Amino acid sequence: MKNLGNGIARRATSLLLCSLLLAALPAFARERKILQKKTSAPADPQTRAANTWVDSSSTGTNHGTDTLMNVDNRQIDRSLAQFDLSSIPNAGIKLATLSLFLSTAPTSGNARTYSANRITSLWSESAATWTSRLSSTAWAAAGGDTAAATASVGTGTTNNVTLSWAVTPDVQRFFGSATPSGNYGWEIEDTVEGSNHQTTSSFTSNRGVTEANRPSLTVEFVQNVTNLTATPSTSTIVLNWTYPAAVGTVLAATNGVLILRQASSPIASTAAPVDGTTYVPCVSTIGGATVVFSSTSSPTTFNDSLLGNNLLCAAAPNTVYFYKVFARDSSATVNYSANGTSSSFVPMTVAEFSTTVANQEAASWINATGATTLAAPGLIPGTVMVIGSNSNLVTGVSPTDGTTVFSPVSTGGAIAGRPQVLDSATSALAVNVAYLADGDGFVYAINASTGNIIWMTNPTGLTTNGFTLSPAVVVASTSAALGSSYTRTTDLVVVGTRNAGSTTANQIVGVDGTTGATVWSVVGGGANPSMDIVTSTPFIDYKNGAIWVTTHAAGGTTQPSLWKMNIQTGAKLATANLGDISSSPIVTNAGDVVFVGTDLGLLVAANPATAATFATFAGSDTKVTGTPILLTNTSPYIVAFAGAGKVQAVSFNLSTKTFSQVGSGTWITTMPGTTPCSPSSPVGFQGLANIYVGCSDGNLYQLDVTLGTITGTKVLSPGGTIGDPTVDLQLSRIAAGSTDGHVYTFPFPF
Amino acid sequence: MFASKFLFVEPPKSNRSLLRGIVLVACLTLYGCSSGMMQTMPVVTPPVPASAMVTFCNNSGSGCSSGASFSLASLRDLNVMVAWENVPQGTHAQTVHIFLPDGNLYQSMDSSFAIPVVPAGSTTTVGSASTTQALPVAGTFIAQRGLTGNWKVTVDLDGQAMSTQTVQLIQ
Repeated sequence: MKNLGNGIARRATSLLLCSLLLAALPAFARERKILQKKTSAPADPQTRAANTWVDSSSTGTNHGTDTLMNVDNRQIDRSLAQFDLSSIPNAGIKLATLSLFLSTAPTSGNARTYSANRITSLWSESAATWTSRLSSTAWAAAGGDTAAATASVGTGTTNNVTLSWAVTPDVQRFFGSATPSGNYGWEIEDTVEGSNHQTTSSFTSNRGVTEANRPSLTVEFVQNVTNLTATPSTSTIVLNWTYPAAVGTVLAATNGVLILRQASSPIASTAAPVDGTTYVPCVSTIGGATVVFSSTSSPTTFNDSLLGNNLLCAAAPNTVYFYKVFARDSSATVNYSANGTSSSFVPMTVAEFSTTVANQEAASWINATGATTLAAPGLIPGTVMVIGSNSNLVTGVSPTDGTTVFSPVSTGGAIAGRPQVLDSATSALAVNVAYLADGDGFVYAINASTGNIIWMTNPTGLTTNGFTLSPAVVVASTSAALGSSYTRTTDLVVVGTRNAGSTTANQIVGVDGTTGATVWSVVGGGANPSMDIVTSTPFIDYKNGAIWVTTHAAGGTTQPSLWKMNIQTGAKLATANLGDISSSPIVTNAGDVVFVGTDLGLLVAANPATAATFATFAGSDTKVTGTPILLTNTSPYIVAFAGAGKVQAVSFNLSTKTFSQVGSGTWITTMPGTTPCSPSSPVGFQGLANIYVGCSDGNLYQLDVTLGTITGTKVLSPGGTIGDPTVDLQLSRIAAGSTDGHVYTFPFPF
Repeated sequence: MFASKFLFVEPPKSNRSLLRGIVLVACLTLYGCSSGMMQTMPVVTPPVPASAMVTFCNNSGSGCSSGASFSLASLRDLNVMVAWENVPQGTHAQTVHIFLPDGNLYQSMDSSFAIPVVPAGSTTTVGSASTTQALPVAGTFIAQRGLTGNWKVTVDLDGQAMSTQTVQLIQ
C-alpha cells in the first residue's frame, strides 16, 4: 500500500509538474489557419464571407445564391469571394493562399489563365451584379472595382482540381500593412477577357454541397501579444504583457519578444523589424525607435531601468516613452508579428516615470485604428468599446484591457461619428448593437459582441450622399419608460445627409433599427424649406416628442439650421434660421430649453415648443465646436462648450431668459499654447468634479468644473490632435482618439 | 552544396561549344548595335510610363473651383482630381492617401477605373482616365478643429506610388 501510495503521489506530482510546465509555456507561435465555410469539425461558419459571380451579358442579375461561380473570357463572367477573417486575432500575416475548386475546367486545348484581383469597394453577396456592388450603388468600374492582379494561375483542362493564388500582400493589407485597406475579398477573372473563343469555367461556391470543395483561404501568421500595460514608479517603467492562446495549427514555437522604444512621440507605423533579422538591444534602431529589449525566453515583463539591468539604454525620468512589443517565432527565418513593413496594429503603450508622483503617467491601454480617429468611441460600460475610424474599420475592444471583442469590420467609407451603442437589455434587437453611418452613404447595425453586420442600408438610395455624423437612436424601451409619444416597438436610427454639392436638398432619414428599412425621410426643398448639409448628431427629445437636428444654412440666415421633427413621423414641427451650425443641439432634462452653438461662436437658448430664440450669448470665441454639455439639471442652467481656442461655461436663467458669465460656476479658459490649441467637445457628467477636452497639441486636459482651471494633463500624442473623449464611469477611465491612428485610454481623475 | 549559389559551376564539356556560340552571337549583336547594323530593324519605342496629375477644387453647391489653397471658411468638399495618362489597358486600383499637416494619415480612399481594351490593330495599349475623390471638410473635424496647414496627398496606382501633391488649408 505504501508503494502504491508513493506511486500515486509520484504520478500526481508528475502530473502537477507537467501541468505547471504546460501552463508556463506560451501557447501561441507562428500558426496556420484554413478559413473555409463548413459545419464539419473544425466548424467555421464564415459569417462575414460572401460568394457570387457577375455576368456582363446579364448586367442586372445577382447570383448570390448559386452553388457554382462562373468565369468566362468572352461574355465576361467574374467570380467574387470574400472570407470572414474574424477568427484570426491581431497578427502579423506571413503567408496567405486563396484556393478555389474548379468544378468545370475549360475544354481540352482551351486552358486559360485566371487572376485573383483584390476588390477595393464594399459589396454584398445578395446585391452585387455586373453594374452594382450594393443595392442602388454602382461599381466605379462595371464588373467590379479591383486592383491589378495579385497573382495568376493556369486553369489546365481538368475538372475537379483546386486552383490556388498567393495573396499574402492583400491579406497583410487587411491586417494593417503600410497600405491598409478593407477586406472586400477577391475577384477571379480571365487575364485576357474579350477574346473570341469562348471558354467558361465554374468554381464551387460556399453554398456547394461538398464542404471540402468550398473556397478556402490558408493563412499563416504570428499573433501579437495582448494585455500590454506600462506601470511607472519613481525609478522605473515596467511593461507587462501576455501571450495569447493559439487559434490555429502551430508551425513554430514562440521565441520571445522584441521591444521598440521612442521618446516623446508615438512609434511610427513604418517602424517594424524585418523577418530574418536579429537586432541588438540599445544598439539597433528601427524607424527612429530604439530596440531596448530582445529576449528569446518568452518573458512577460520588461523593467526599463538600471534596476532592471537595462544598463546601456535605461529610460530617463520625466520623459514620455512610447513602446511597441513585437512577438516572434522560432523558425529559422525568425518571423515577427509586424505586418510586412508595418507595425500599425502592433500593441503600443506610453508611460513616464518620475520621482514626482503627480508626473507619473501610463496609458491603461492603446488601440490602433489605422488612420485618424477623432470621433468619440461608443461604449457599453464594462462590456465593449466600439471604435470607428477614417480607416473604414470598426473595432470592438474590451474597455478593461483593450483586448479584441470583435475583429475589425470593414465598412464602405470613413466613420467620422461616434458609434451609438445599445446594450441587449435596452435595444429592441435584444443584442448589443452599434449603429453607425459612413462616408459611403450607408448606415449599419453591427452586433457589438460579434462584429457581424446585422443590416446595412443606403437609406436615401442616392450615391451623392455621405454621412459624417453619428446617428441618433430613438430607443423604444426608453421612450416607453419616459412616456414619450414614440410608439413604435423597434428603435429608430436617425441620420442626416451630407451632400456638399447641394445647399438645399439634403435629407433627414429615420431608419428602422431592427430591419434597416427607411421609415420616413424629410427632404429639403419642395414642401420643406431648403436643407443644407447635416454634420452633427441629432438630439432625441423624449420629453417634447421631438428630434432636434442642426444643419448648415448655405453660409447665411435665409434658410433654417435648427429643425424640430416629430419623433414618430419625422414631420417638420418648427425651424429656426441661426446660420451655419456644425455642433449638435442639446435639450435640458426638463425639456424646457434647447441649446445650440453656431459656427459664428454664438450659444443660442431656444424655445423647445417653437424653436424661437430665447436668448443669444456671444462667447468671445470665433465658433462653437462639438456638443455643448449641461452641468446642472435645473435653471439657472450651466452650459459648457468649446470653441476655436477656448472652453467656457455660461449660465442661462430660464425665468429671465438671460445668459450670464458672471458668478458661480461660470468661466472662460483659454487653452495652452502661443496660439491656443483647438479643443474637442468637452465631456463630463453631472456630479464629476472635472470635465475633459482633447486638444490640437496632442494633450488631454482635465478642467475643474466650477472654476475652469486646468488641473491635469495627459500627453497622448505630441504633435497630433486629440479627438472627442468618452468617459467610462464604471472603470473611471477616459478614452480619446488621435490623428496618429490610436485610441488612448487613461484612468481619471488625473 | 549549401553554398552552391555562390560558386561558379563549370558547364559540362558537351555544352561548351554551345556556350561559345551564344557568346559569339551576343558579341556580334552588341557590335552590330553599336555600328549601325540594326538601322534596318523597326524602331521600338520604349513604353511611356503611366503618369498622374493631381489637382484640387472646392466642391460647393455652385460648381468646383480649382486651386492650391483653400479657406476652411468656404471649403465644403475638397475634391482630389487625378488625371491619368499612359495607363495600360485593364482595371486599375487608385489609392489616394491624405496626410495631415502633422504628418499623420488622415484617410485613404480606394477607387477603381478601367482603361478599355484597345481595338485589334491599334498601335497603343495604354489609355487615359480621370477620377475624383471628395474629402468632406465643412462641418467635419477638419473645419471644427481648425486642422490648417499643408496637407500632403499621394496617389498610388495598383499599390505603386505615382504622384505627390500638397494643398494648403487656411482659416
